[in-house]
Amino acid sequence: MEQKYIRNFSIIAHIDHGKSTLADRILEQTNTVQSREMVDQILDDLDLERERGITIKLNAVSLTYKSDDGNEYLFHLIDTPGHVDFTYEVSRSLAACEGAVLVVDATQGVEAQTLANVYLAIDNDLTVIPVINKIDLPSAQPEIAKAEIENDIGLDASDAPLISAKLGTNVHQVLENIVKYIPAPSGNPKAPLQALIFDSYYDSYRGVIVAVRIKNGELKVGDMIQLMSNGLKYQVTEVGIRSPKEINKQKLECGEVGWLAASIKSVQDVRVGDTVTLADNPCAEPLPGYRELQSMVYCGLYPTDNARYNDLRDALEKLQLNDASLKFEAETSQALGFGFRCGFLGLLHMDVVQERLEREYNLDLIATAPSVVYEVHLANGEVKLIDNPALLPANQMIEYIAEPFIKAKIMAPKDYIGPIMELCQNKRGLYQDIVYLDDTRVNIIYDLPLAEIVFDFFDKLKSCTKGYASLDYELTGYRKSELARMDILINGEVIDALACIVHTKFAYQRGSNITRKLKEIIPKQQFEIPIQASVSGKIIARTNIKAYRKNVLAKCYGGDVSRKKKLLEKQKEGKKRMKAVGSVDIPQEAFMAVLSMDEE
Amino acid sequence: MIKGLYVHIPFCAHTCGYCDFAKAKYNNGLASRYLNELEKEICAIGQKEFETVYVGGGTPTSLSSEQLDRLLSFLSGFGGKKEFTVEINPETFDLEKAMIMKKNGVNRVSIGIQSFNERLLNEMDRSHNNEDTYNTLKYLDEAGIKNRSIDLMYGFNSQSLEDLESDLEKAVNLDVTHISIYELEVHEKTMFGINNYQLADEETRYLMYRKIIEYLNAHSYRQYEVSNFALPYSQSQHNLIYWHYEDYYGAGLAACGKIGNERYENTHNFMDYLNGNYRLEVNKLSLEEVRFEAIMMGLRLTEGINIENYNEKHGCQLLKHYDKAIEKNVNKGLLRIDNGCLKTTSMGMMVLNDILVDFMNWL
Repeated sequence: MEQKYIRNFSIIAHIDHGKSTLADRILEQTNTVQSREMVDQILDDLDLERERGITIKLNAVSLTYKSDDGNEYLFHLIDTPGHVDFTYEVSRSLAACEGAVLVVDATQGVEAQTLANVYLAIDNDLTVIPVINKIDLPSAQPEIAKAEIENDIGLDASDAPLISAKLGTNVHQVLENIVKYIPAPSGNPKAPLQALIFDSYYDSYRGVIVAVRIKNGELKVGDMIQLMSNGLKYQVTEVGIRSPKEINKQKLECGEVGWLAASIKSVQDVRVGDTVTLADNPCAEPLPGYRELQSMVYCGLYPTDNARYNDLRDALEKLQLNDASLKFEAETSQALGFGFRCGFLGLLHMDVVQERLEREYNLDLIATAPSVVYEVHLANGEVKLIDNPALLPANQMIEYIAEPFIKAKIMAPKDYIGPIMELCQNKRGLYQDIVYLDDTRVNIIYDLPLAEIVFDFFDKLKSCTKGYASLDYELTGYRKSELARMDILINGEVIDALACIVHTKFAYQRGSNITRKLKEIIPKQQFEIPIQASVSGKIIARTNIKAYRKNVLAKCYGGDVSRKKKLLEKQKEGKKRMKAVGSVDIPQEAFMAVLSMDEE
Repeated sequence: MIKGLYVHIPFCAHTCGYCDFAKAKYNNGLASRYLNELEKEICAIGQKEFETVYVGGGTPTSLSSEQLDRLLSFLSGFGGKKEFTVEINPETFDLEKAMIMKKNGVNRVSIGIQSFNERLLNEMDRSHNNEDTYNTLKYLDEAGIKNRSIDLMYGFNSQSLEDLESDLEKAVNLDVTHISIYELEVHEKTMFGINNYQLADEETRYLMYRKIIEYLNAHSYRQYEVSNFALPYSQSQHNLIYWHYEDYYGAGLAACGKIGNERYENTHNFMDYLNGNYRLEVNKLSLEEVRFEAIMMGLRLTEGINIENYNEKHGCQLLKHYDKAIEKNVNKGLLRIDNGCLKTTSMGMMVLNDILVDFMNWL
């Protein structure tokens, strides 16, 4: 296909503004998928995604469209995930496109998250074409939505189609605008191969399937390719497109989007944003924008039943086949036994992995509170990276600790500046800037410690702005902070799995919050249980769980035996769901208590 | 031979808000039909001589004098020489009924006094008062029934430690041989449960229980079971059958019996019972359940479980079979082995449920 008949685009939208529905209609109206084959929102092919209404795995579909101008076009629709954990992946998917369709809900107008995604698209030099969706709803106000697009984003909305993705109304106009406004790719077909990797997944028969966009040159079956970030070489066994089923081809041409298989054994080797080139005729430069994948958040995952340690390892290995961003290594905890330290892109990613382990692999897990990676500068000049607070060296050995900082861009209506700044301040944020986007919207920029974000920042932000604010962040590096490990002692014993690293200024407050929370969670036992928080050997907070001193059935005669035995069985079952640490039974929720940040 | 026979009389003059036993409001016609069926069930057992007979309820004394006479004279044909107990509620008792008991060989009574504090009697929804209580004892004196037990309760919302102590003082000053004192249990389907009745707080109830043990032991009523105290040689022979995990028959609505490794429970439905369909279910217990239940009952006694007897009866070495549970609780100071018996310490008795959970080795 000649490049002038190719269009590569994404659809960007705020959650629930109709991105997936529009994708479904486009597939239907280009006869890519017959209506009877339609499952709602077929691009989200993991159940979990469908349940949570979020797209985690990227996907690309090729379709042909016969335009009103009489020509047949090849469209590549590239789907993108929509959460801050995946900003980098989104940006790489966008980099595979020349344009983006911006869906704005006619009943809601432009929302903060829409702006974040649009800017990401504009950053990648994409042409953004707006459409106004949900015009079938009585509360639709398309003119206001258009005005917002023009005023808030600065895009021309005069030609924006008014559509109903649900009913299929005017979707044809969207397709025409894609042809008309989104530029054709302009790579050099004769140049050495330069292809962008924007996704991958593992197929047990053919190895890793790599989603690529051919920027320059072409890719044929049999080619010897090289991945530029790590130099690994493979022979291409298959190439093709998806429509959305896989269709094998002999080659992928310049400007096209498709997939390749090359007997690659591990998704870890195939990095999103990396450049594929030919081993014997490499391109001069890799494509810009590549970043090493970085785990932002770590936590310990332990099976409740220690006997299932091997099952957990098998399950993690299977998940990792398809999730290059999941990292894990074995670790042991005195309190929890054998488990794994796992690294994630962010909290959502962590939740998703945990949920899949529990649901798909039927495991009962205890997760320790998430931690970021600290840079610990030792007195002897050595620098250690620590992702598990329990492993922090003794205070005397530490020169200082540095923690990862992010630059947070919070977009919100200006009415919420006060609460947002207060929140950022409470989270140890350093004010940078406020940019007025227009009369009503602002961009608030703060430097914040990542550790504060991985707790409950996002929820707090949503609740203090009635859901209007959006958050985009990027890691900016490490900064020295006044940090120390806070140990939690239960019944005089340090519980390693409950250790956390805190800012000394907030230590008292955190310590008393955590001890109070633990007091609520841990059931009374036969003896009084002191719960203490200590920093550098100094107790900074303390509370006691009073002993219950009586637990005996008052009456037990001939007629009571069965019933009373059942009561005891219930008590036994409850006990089994707890973890015995020393002489204290601790319920699973306790290990998340260090997350508890509630102020009084 | 089975040692004990329990007979259930499921009628009451008044239904108390906390009670979850099978019972109905007394009705003369229904009671007569019930007694017909009860006699049939007891005859069908096929055993004529029991060491102990215990008539409980409900309220056996809610029966009319004629019905009570009929029942007790029938039961006097089934032994009870060692112990023949009938439960009494003060508000449905009089001299006539006392004489009927004496005549038919009843040699022990258990009186549901619950408290001597009329405010608390009111709170617990009992319909008798102190006058009834003292009259009851007077009638028994007149009839010459000397072996008597009283039931008390504690743990009420408005009850103070002083209230309790005053009850204990009155109890030991009565001429009784045996005191049972129970912490109030709130059951879901009773009026107390439905109204979400709040007991006295946990700490108070603990202190109350301590006080009870201390006080009664000091006044010659020795604790021999979690909630039971007796003068020397006055322990309930019938109830010891349960705690020794021996066999017994139960007859009447909702009664239970245990024969070997089988336990049965009778129907809770009057119509079924009156139609001769006595059994609700019969369960065969597994070996491990039997072994556990013997411990669950035996550890309620201060004397504990005789290890040799246990081993012989249950075909396993108690100390070996439950070595982990025993070791753990001995180390915690909750169990001890003394004189060939496995028993709770006084601290262990307080948290018997926790100990027992460790013995549930099939879970």
